[in-house]
Amino acid sequence: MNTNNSLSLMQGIATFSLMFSLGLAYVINPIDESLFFKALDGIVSGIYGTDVLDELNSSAVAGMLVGLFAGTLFVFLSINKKVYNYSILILFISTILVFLADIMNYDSFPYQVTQQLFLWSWIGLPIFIGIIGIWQDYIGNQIVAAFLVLVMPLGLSGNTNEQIYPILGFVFSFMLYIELSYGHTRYSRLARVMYYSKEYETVLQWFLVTLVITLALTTGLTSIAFLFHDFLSDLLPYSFSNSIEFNTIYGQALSVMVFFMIWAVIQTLFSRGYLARQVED
Amino acid sequence: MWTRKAVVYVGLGTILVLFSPFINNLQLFLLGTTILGFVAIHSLVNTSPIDVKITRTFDSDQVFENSNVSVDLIIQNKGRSVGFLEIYDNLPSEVEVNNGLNHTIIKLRKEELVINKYNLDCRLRGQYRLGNPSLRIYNPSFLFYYESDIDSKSSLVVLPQIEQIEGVDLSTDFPKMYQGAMPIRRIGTSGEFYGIREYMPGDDFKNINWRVFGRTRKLMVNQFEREDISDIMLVLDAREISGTGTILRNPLNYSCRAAASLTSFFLRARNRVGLTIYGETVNVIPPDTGERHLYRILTALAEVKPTGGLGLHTVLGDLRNFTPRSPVMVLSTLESDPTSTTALREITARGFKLTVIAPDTLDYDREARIISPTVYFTASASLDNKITEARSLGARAMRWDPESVLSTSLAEVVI
Repeated sequence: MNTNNSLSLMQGIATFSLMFSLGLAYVINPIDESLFFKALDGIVSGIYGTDVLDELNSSAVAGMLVGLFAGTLFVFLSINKKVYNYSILILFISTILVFLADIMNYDSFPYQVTQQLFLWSWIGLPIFIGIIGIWQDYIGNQIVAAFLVLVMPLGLSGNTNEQIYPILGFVFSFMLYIELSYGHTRYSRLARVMYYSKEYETVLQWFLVTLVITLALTTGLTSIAFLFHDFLSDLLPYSFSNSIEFNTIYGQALSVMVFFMIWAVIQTLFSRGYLARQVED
Repeated sequence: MWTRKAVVYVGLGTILVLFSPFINNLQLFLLGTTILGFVAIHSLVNTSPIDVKITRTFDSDQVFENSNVSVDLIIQNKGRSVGFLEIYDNLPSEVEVNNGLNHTIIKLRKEELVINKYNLDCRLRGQYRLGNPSLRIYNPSFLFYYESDIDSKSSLVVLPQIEQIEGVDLSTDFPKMYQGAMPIRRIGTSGEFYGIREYMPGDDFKNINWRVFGRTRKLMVNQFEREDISDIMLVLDAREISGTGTILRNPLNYSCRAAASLTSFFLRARNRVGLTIYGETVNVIPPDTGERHLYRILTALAEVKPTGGLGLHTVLGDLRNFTPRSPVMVLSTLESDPTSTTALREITARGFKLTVIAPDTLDYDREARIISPTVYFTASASLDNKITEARSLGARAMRWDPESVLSTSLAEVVI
């Protein structure tokens, strides 16, 4: 396996992780409860008098496929600047024509089809932006896509332990997406400088292996952080550990913060750098 | 040290953990906890101190201008295994990397030795210091990094380029015939050892150096000096003004090349050659001969920098001890030197056979717009006057276009 193969593998896994995390986000938070799509529905209902989410197909899978198609097309078009410019022009003219046709009541292009496409485009937007970020090494796009994956499906109903497996899947794939897409950007930038280095491939493989191991260890540490809540409840006075606040997600949040604060303090005290500073002082 | 990514991760993780309870969102809460856990785990990966030793070797001991030298950067791990080690070998701006890179990223196992090779294009003479290499250790996800410099310096002396001079008789008309002659070395049969060379048919067997034969299995014969030819003194102008122009194309660099070429030429002919450099101070290398002397002069030429403003007259005191009627070659544009006329007159009056070589970079300076046309014409006319003046004193004087071959230019003035 040469350097280019390892880097392409990182891009491929990052793309699938992004799709997987968006899909699971919609499994955890159904699209009709999403604040974003409720707002979109409200705007469209106000303007056109039609209910988008009820009348159209709001399949997350279809939206993700549209996003995948659009993102891939964009990346391929970007390879040739001229073709890219012409394509953007055609897309712009087509959009204008669809609006003009609507205003002039000329229904050559079915109105529902465009609405459906627009809805799916919204659903697939994080994929579209993320793919450009992954394959063209734009860190800005990667961050925006990650933000949209977190925010767009968000509703007010919340979620509970019943959805723990989709949640764990989401967290794992989200972390993989962020790490691999950012890692690819950094390592490919270095690969351009280090193209001659025989050692570089081993550095890449070390990154991939370490990523898998650290993600596994992170899962363990996260579990310990959660168990720390129970441990803390044994330590704290009965009235505190049995309070409503402590036994809800608020209490868990505080326990997690306390756990990581203790971790930080222990690491600072026992790190070699700290000992070295003590000697210097 | 924390990277921006680590700061963003910790900030995002904390916000998610603290914000998610408000919307009762376990998904964001778990994500925040995982992000914090990820940073906590990574704070332990590839962050402990390392022990790396770096040394540098060159493929050649003698490096000349416009030649390449191959550098081996030997990286030896004496401590723990290092996953991501970025090494940047600090180089002086005068040398350029033309093959390989002085910047590499490697993974080092325990006790592993890695050699990073790169070639340097040495386009300018000088004494350079390479190092210290900068090290940067990243943890794999770019969350933490550590930087340090490793103490590993090497000295690289780039000697001036030597041009072959042939077919030009630059020696004196008065070889070692007068009273009180100082020995001028040449191969002969006297008792003074001069050097060794390969055996050729016809050589006397008693001159074979058996020790060298025992060591190298090659027949070499001893050579002995003979006193009969001349001393030559080269006078090099290293005033600040001689550095005018670009870093590569200036009168001082060309003067150094000419001095190196002439020294090599005269020493090959078994003459004794001395060098006087004037600029901030006057440095004199007394006339001598042999391979070792050649490298003494070349090293001195490599180290010359354009500083100071001493005039040519300051070398007169040292020339007083030099053999009369021997050739003195002045390498200077004589620009902005009010003492040059007196000094040249004094040199010729003492009977030295004077040659003035004035490296002319004015055309290049004008084309590169370093000087204006007005300055060009003024400086050019001034240089012509100096040359004419030197010729009127009986000196062989020339404006040397450094783009042309030195021996061809010299042949025009040496009759």
